[in-house]
Amino acid sequence: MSLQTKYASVVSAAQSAGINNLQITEQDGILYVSGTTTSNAPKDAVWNALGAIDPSYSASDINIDVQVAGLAEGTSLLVITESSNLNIRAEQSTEGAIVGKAAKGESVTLVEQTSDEWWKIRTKDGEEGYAYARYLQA
Amino acid sequence: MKKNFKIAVVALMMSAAFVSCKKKAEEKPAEVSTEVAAPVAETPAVVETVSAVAPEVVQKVSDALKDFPTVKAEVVNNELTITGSATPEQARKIKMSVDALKVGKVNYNYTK
Repeated sequence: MSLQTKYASVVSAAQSAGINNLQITEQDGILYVSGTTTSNAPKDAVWNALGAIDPSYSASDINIDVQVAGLAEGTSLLVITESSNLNIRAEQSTEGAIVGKAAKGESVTLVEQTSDEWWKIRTKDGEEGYAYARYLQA
Repeated sequence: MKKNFKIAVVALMMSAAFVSCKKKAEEKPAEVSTEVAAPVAETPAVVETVSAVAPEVVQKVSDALKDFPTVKAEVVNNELTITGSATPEQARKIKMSVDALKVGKVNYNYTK
């Protein structure tokens, strides 16, 4: 069974969710599903489809990389860390000096989507720096 | 006296010629060793012996897992593997974080 057949429902969800620049490719035994959206709903739809097939999210033969992109400056973002505070750093690296912290559930303001991994944000206290994008929800 | 002087001059010339020859003999191996060194530098064997999982990749994934203290990234049987315990909700977030890094095959070996 090909990976596209195995994950047909994931591919279908990605195609119908309105994901921009959707790319579905198979390489080295891994099915890559990637693209961008402007909100979390399409991204969640794809991940929900995977969860229906693989409830433990432990499949190693599919890679889903749907990123929320194109957000405007000033967009309000929710901090969705697992438990700890979100570090705000001076540089786009976990080695960068911590210039502030945002608590789980706190709202912060987007300054710019600097890269896929790091976004520049500002807290309500005016602390500004780079945070891991995966812990921020539009 | 004159004879002694001549002998001394001849001896001096001979020793100078010997030193000169010795210098040439010392220079030659240096050239040879340069020629030998060149092919060694071109050997690509180092690339082949690098582990399938580079340390920087493991570090990158470990950074992405900082928020999940019950799991860790390690190399098992030469493959990047996430081990530890995670609820399905945590596992979803972990896969989201790891997939975004696009580091190739990653095994998820969670204990329940």
